[in-house]
Amino acid sequence: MALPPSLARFRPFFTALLLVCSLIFSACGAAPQPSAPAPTQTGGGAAPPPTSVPAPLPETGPQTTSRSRLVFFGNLEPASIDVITMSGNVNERQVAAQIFETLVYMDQSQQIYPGLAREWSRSDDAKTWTFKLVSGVKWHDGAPFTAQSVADYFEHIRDNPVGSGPGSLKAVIGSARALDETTVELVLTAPRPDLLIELADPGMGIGNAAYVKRVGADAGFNPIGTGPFKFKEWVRGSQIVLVRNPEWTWGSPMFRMSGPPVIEEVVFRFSSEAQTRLAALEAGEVDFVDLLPFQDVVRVRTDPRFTVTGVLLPGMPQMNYLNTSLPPTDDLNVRKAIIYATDKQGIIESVYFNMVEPAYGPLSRVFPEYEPALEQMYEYNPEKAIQLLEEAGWLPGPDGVRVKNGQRLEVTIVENKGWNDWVYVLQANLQAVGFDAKVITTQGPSNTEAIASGKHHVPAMGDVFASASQMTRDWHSEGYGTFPSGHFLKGEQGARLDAMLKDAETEIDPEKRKEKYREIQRFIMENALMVPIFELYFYVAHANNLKGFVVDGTGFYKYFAPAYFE
Amino acid sequence: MSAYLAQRVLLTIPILFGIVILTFFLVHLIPGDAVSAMQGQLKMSAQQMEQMREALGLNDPLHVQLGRYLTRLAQGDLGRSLFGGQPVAVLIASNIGATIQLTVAAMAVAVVIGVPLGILAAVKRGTLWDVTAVVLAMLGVSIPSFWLGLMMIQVFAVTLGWLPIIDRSARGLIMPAVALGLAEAAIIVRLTRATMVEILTADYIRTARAKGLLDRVVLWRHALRNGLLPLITMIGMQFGTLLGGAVVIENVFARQGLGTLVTQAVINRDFPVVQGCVLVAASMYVLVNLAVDIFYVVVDPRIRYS
Repeated sequence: MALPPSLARFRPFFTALLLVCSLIFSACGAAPQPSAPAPTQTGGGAAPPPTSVPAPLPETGPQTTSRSRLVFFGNLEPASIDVITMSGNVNERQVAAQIFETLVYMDQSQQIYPGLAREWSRSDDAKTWTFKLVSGVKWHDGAPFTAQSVADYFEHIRDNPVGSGPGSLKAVIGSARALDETTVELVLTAPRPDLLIELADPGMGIGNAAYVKRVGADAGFNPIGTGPFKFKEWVRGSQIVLVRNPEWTWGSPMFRMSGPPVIEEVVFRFSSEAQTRLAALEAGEVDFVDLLPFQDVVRVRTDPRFTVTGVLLPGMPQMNYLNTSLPPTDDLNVRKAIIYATDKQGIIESVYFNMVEPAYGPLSRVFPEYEPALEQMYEYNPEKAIQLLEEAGWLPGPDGVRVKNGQRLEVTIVENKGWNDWVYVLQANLQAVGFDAKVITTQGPSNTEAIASGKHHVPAMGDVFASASQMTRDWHSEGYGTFPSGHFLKGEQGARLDAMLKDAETEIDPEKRKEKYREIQRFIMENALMVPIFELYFYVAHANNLKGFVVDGTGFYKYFAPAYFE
Repeated sequence: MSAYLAQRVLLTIPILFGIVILTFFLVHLIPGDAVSAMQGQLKMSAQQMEQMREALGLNDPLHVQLGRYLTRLAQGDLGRSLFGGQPVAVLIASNIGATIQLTVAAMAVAVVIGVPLGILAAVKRGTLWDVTAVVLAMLGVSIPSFWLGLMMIQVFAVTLGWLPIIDRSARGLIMPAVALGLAEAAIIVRLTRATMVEILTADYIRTARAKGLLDRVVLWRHALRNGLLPLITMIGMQFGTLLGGAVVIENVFARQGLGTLVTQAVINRDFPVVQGCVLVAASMYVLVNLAVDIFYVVVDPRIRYS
């Protein structure tokens, strides 16, 4: 295009402007639309954890690496990285998993491996556990690691209200004592058949209680463990740097290696901006990113430089509780109507680009205790929802919202910002059958407060855990976990569910236990206590040449001890 | 001058005290506390949560918590983080340098782009240069800095590979500083243009030209010097805006700084850290304004404080 003579002298300027604009618009171009559901399913059909030592695995650990520095880019910076003083932030465990070791480990197939404990046994009532520790272990400061270290650790977490391990386990620690230099006995106040699974959580890495007592909270900023990497530095707001522990020769058989790591340095960076994390990977500045946005999965998957992995996170699927203590959801028909009105397939297609799979009850299908009969219990059927509402006396009002005795059919849905994007489709689904549904957006602590207040009808939730016994924390009225003020099922039915959960949690026989958990799942869905939405997948992306790292039983945490670059 | 300075410094004490009180009540108005933030992963029972609240002093009445905080503050102690227990002063000290670095760099970008473009627009009033500068200024104030940051990442880091995203070197500062500084540059363009247009039509400029002075002497020695006062005032005021913008940009570029620290602290309801950060940011703002007032004297000899 020819410019008028008066403007011709601005040609270089226009050219530069055009170039900048084209770059910007090319960056804004639409990403390819995802086309096929292809989550990589892991786990599934898990057997109950063994209490014997599995056969040693062949040592095929890495001998060389083409690069010696691994950069991990996670979402939230830890507040503290000592397992004893940690606050519960997910990435605290991610970092701690490299510095500390657990008594046992669990991989994605739910197989338990020896860790610091090479052998273990339990009493018939699953209350007394004895662990035989590996010998020759040293803390990072050179001090010897003994059975007394483990006993001190358990007693310390039992006695300290701040930090340290899952609350439900802390509550049942009775005593711990060293029987000899390498044998420790842990006595619980209640049977804990699933103890090994809980002990395999990276948050249960054995911390140095003597060190924590000596230096206090500073231990969280200069942690001392026994693991494959030692703490080097933490530049707050910027990065955490770990270096290899050259003396680490006692690694778990799960890592399939006999010597120390070949990676010299592991660097953890953090940003809550998912697009920044992804861009840093694409720009080659980091090797591993967590929490890949669903809309970017297909695009990154087609890039030959990266590997994208989707892991089904076991636990309680993404769902909405239905509050039975508030009208109108105190009416069973209304609760069932909400389930029938929810188009979970529509949610999966439109919000999650087919990257997740539908859920049908309160437990992931990866557990052996999963009840498959639930899959036929409720299908998407808005007509049925309308029929149930009309049977319950909720009739169309002048503005389309149903009314009964002058009351409008109003419900509030609680969203935890960034985690529950489906609630807006759910809101539309409910409005389509005559609800006046409002979404309340909360985040972090305000979400916990909103749910615990019991003032909302349809709060969204989900939980990640590795054992069916952890259902207690999401459904028992004592409220370990998401419900500090107890769940929403009151009265006789609530007491029944509490009793069923406690009974199943302490059941030692695997078959009886399976049946008890299936009964609980049926009870929850028959009483319409929740709207199951989808099984949560966790997508990560990493450089193609990064190999060897191991993912834990929850699918959440990565162990970089055996990692190497091809 | 020194009496004036002493008076100004003394005046900052009630200002900062007011900010402390206001911040204290504001952060406690937000639903939830640090224990409910920890609940997500620690899975505590209601009883265990109460024990933890007791241990952290969160169960005390608000006035008791405020009294305890003020007593510590009077002793120069900003308290400890409820997450991990690190002293707030240490957390701030390890982050403030990066924020000041980013803010100063962004201000430099704003001034280097904004002042010449504003002068150019004023001198070439009514031409394409003027129109372009005004349009760019309008775009600059309209584009959100976080969006600009993300676009710059896509173009200059991912597509072209020219600049790093999370690098801690000086090169790593370029994109955050430009993303943060462009909006301020736009404001400076508009202000400089408006000021200079007014000055360039003033009688004393006409007189200077009539005396036969060169255009550049008229512009730089007579016009710009008089135009600097509102500009310096604006730059001082924009310092606070840049500190606020740094919160967003630090997160976009995963940079260390007070912004990242305070964002995380607000999410975690880590009250001592939020209060400490706000107090420090407010102090910086007050100090910059004081510095601006002092700078007036240097720029304009007619101004005298007594």
